[in-house]
Amino acid sequence: MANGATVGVIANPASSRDIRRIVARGPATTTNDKINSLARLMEGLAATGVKNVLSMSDAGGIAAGLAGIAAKASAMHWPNLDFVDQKITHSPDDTINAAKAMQDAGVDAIVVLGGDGTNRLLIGSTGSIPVASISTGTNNAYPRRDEPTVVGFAAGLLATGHIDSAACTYRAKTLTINAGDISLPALVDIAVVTGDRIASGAVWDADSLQEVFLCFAEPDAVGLSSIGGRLQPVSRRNPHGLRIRTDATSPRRVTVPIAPGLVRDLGITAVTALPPGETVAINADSGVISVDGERSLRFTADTPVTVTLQHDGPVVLDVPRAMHEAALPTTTTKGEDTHG
Amino acid sequence: MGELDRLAMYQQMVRIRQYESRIMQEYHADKSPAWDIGAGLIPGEMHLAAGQEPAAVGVCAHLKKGDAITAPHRPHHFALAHRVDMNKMTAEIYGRTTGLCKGKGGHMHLFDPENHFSCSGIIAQGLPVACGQAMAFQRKGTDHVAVAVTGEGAANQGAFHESLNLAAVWNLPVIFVIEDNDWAISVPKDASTAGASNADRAAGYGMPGVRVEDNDVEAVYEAAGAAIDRARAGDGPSLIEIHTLRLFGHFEGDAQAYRPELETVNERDPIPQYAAALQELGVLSEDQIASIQADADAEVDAAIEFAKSSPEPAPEDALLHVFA
Amino acid sequence: MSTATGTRRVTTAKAMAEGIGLEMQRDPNVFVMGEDVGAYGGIFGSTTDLFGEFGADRVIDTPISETGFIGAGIGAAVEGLRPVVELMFVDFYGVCMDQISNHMAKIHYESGGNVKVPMVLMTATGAGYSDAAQHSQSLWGTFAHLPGMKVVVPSNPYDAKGLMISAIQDDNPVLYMFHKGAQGLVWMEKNPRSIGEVPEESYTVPIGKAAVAREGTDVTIVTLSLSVQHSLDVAEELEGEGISVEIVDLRSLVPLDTETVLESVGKTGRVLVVDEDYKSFGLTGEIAAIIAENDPGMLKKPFRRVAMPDVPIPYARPLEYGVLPTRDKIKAAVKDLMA
Repeated sequence: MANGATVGVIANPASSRDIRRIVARGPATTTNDKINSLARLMEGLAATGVKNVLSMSDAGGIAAGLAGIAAKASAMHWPNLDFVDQKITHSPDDTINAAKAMQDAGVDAIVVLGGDGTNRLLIGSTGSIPVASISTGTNNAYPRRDEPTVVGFAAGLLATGHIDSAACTYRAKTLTINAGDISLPALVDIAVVTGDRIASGAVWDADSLQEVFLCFAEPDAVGLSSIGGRLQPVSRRNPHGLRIRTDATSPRRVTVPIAPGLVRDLGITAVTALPPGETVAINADSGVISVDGERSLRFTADTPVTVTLQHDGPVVLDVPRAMHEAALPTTTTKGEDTHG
Repeated sequence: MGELDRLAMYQQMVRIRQYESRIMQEYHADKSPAWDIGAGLIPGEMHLAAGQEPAAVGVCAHLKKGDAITAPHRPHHFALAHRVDMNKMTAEIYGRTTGLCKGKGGHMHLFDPENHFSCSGIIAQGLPVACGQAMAFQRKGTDHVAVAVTGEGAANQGAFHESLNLAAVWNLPVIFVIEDNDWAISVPKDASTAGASNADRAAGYGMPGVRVEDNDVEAVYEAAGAAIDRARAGDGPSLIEIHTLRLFGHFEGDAQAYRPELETVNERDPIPQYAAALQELGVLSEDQIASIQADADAEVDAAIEFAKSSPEPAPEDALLHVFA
Repeated sequence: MSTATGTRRVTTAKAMAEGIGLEMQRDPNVFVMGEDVGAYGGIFGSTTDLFGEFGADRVIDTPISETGFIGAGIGAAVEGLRPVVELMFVDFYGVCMDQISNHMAKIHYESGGNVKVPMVLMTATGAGYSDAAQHSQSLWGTFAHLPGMKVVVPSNPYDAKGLMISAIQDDNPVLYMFHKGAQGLVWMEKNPRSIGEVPEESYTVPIGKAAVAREGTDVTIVTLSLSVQHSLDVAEELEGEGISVEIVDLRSLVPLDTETVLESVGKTGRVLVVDEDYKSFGLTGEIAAIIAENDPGMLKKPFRRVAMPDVPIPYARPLEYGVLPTRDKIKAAVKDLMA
């Protein structure tokens, strides 16, 4: 049983800019909700014997809020809490730099609070460290809705060596879009939309959709991956991804939640498997690319744009499997049943 | 939502920037002695909004005649973006009879009833007034909206919370716009505000709240468009917090010694950033940049000239206009 | 007295509400908002029966957010509506004074006369029922001191209705300050003068015009609000003692009818100012200054005043009545002037 286990914690203070709050009654996760989630996570980590937690720093009040609770008498049993010494840039770099610092510090597991966007930032920055995710963003397909206390148990059991990593982790798939010298990764979806606007980011205009590439497609998902989920489900561990072409005039219809509270009827022209390692060209010759639901890149006919599916994403800690693994060898000694 | 007109938005931002820059020059040009805030052709406090143009331009691009704005003590960008006459506004700042308020208001108290524009020097206190304007629009059965602008520091005032509650409980067509420029005079937001995002506070009132993290006019445009459409349709108030940039001091004469990131502010200037983005899109040329700047220079110079050549009020005029 | 057609006896509260109701019938832009003005009818009866007649759309119960809804009244007035807004107790001014003083009262001036704020802010004043320091003040001197709002203070049902109609029709913000003890409420001891003859039809009482509530020749009492009722009682008693008291009911503080005051003082040569507001830096001193500026020689006897001493208003009955301008104190002061 390893002692001195360390868990890294990343909480994105900016996962709330989302226009879907107005156009689709998107949920709001407040800063105080995030702090409370972290406090619950700490309880789970403490219960499994994790000794140290290394948290991202931020100027958005999350680190300060967590430190405030940690200083209270009621948190004396928590793991020792340190913060990454990092320059705050108010940009996505803050999240990436925190992950890199955790890798350098040799943490045993990382827990991320955020949505699809925050998790996406970690691609390539967490190496072989298992990562557990807690959903706090506006539109989440990637992080599961697990209770932070339980995530704390799972991450703690893994970090302290109580459970076998191989049994409860897997490599996430990624999609990479290449346009000229620009290359952007995604964890869930890449979409091609019409127009030339990046603006507020989120994709919420169904009519603008042209083509969607998916790492996985779960029938109970929300967001663009729900399209695939309804047409041809693909699990997270399936080697293949999915490619879908849309056309508003197509007679083949599917009704899906493309964002929380935003249900749209789409016309589908093609659904095909996307094999790993194969680089495919997109259909359109101009428009905007969104990665994990956020419009990120304009392209024109001058630039060939391709998409590739790979198995090189973060090492995912599967919380349900981890807890199942931990439950198998019973720890209750015979004759100690206090409920008798 | 209205059709995105990128050139018009760029032009408006340049116009506002030129205005604020020239007012800054003029303000200091004849301060003698230089420390005397009451000296010169433009006396009194002067709060300039350079760097915050994306907020005003992105929001006002969606407003039509008859929509109302209440602005705070830093009002020029919203006034200009909301069609307030530049000549009359400048004459008011110079305290002339041709000014919007005949020299009675000054730069923190600009009133333009034709455009339903007003501002108040008391932070957050324009919010209840905007609620009342929205109430009037609602009662008259129009689809007009009221935009209540305030800084992030003002979001800790009771008036802010009373107004959010009132607008939500009465489903008023109000858009609360918070310009978060990181600084409440010299106090940073994290030292003054529980909770990093005022968009979160909106959630407490059952109102959608969005935080636009980048000082990007198109991001503001899109968020504001969604909020304004929602209000016009009768779906009630929204809150938009825009993380913007105070390029100058709190007021003119503020040395900003408290501000550690001061040397980086020019790198974060939103106007060159937007110009570069538009050039990359191929909708803005070097020639256009030059001609837009020249037009702004000429318009602002003419407004300043108009103000300077306008008559000053007579002392006895101070007794006029107490009552209608 | 013979009763004219349409005249009957009603309380001050009912008269106020009638004034509002008639204006609401006449002008669809008039509406009422405030705390408990709806089904309750106003804690002090100022909106009696209006909710039943006009419904929740025009008689609006607000959250307990005086800054919010007074500001909303200002915004609505700026857009051409004519809100009648109630601040439940004037003592609550502390939580909303910025809207009243910095906005309602200043916008017209600050705008160079370009923006009008036609709103009525009505509010309950006064002591006498042991509501103590935070629910008993008069404070009209405070508001009259601040430029930009008209201030009216009715003392009886007839004026209450006529001044309300004038206030609603005025293009300026009007602070309408009614005394709880003069409302004629069933749950508060009242002077019979709180119920009086009021025409059913609409009429106005001009803002800025004082009334001579009783003519007399020996002493002028300049007063307002509930103190007018006390002074009339005293004058009736003193008549039997051979003292003729003239009573000037100011009715408006802004604008102040100095002419009527000076005319009466010029006639009697003796003046007593009775004021339920605090004594120092207020109405009593203002009247003294007006007389002094006009002609100090018009007084045969030194100026006298009965006002609230400069203490917060106490709770216990002996303490409260120890500081209030009671009939006994008014009477003593008049007799002193005649001695």
